[in-house]
Amino acid sequence: MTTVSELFPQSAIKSIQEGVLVGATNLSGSGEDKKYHDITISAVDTSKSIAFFEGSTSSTLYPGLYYGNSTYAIGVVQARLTSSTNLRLSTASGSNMTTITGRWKVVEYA
Amino acid sequence: MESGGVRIMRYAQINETNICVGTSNLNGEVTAAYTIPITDDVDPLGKKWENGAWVDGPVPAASYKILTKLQAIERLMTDGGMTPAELVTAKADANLAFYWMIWEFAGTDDVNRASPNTAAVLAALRDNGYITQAELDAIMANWPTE
Repeated sequence: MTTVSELFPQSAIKSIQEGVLVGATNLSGSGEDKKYHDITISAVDTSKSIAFFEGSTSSTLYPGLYYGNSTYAIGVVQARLTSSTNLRLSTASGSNMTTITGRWKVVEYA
Repeated sequence: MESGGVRIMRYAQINETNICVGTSNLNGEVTAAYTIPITDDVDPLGKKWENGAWVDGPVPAASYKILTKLQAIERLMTDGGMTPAELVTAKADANLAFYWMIWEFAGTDDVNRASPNTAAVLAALRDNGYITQAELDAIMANWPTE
């Protein structure tokens, strides 16, 4: 049976890079990158790294009758490394997802 | 800053108008467009990168409160100058029936200043003589902010 120490050996983490975005403008793409935002990071081994993001995109969709604000936080965002030095935060949701706000983290294991 | 023997480099991410929209703590030096190295004592979020220094960014637009229907009625009675009797008359006015129908069917108690329907209701009240253009302008101008 695999032990906990085998799963999480000491000093398993080589590096952690992190950051915050507030209302950063999304670029337009296609497919899963219909709207996206790229962040340059220090080089990591993508085969040993994992990216996290907690936050959302915002939209200026028409809010409807009498309710809602002009800005909705409705987009689901995925984080992935598209190269050793690029973190991409993207959504395949509608093209109205204009900005992105949240915290990201890239953890590289040894 | 150092973490586990690794030197952490801090960077600001600016947008196309040089406004800082993010900060990053990276594992080493990077060179990239829209990426400005910063020191630990700098909090550039929302500020503008101008001639090699951070200056105050643009003042954000006013954030208007979402009102309840009762608060919206109160706006009509204050800046709109409508009396209770005028409100009762307006409620029964066939020219306004469509807007009252939306009001009742909306299924929510929220009234949004930015909604085109809010502008349409106020315009209908003006066009039917219940408020003046000046009163309409006052309602919008004095809409409560966050």
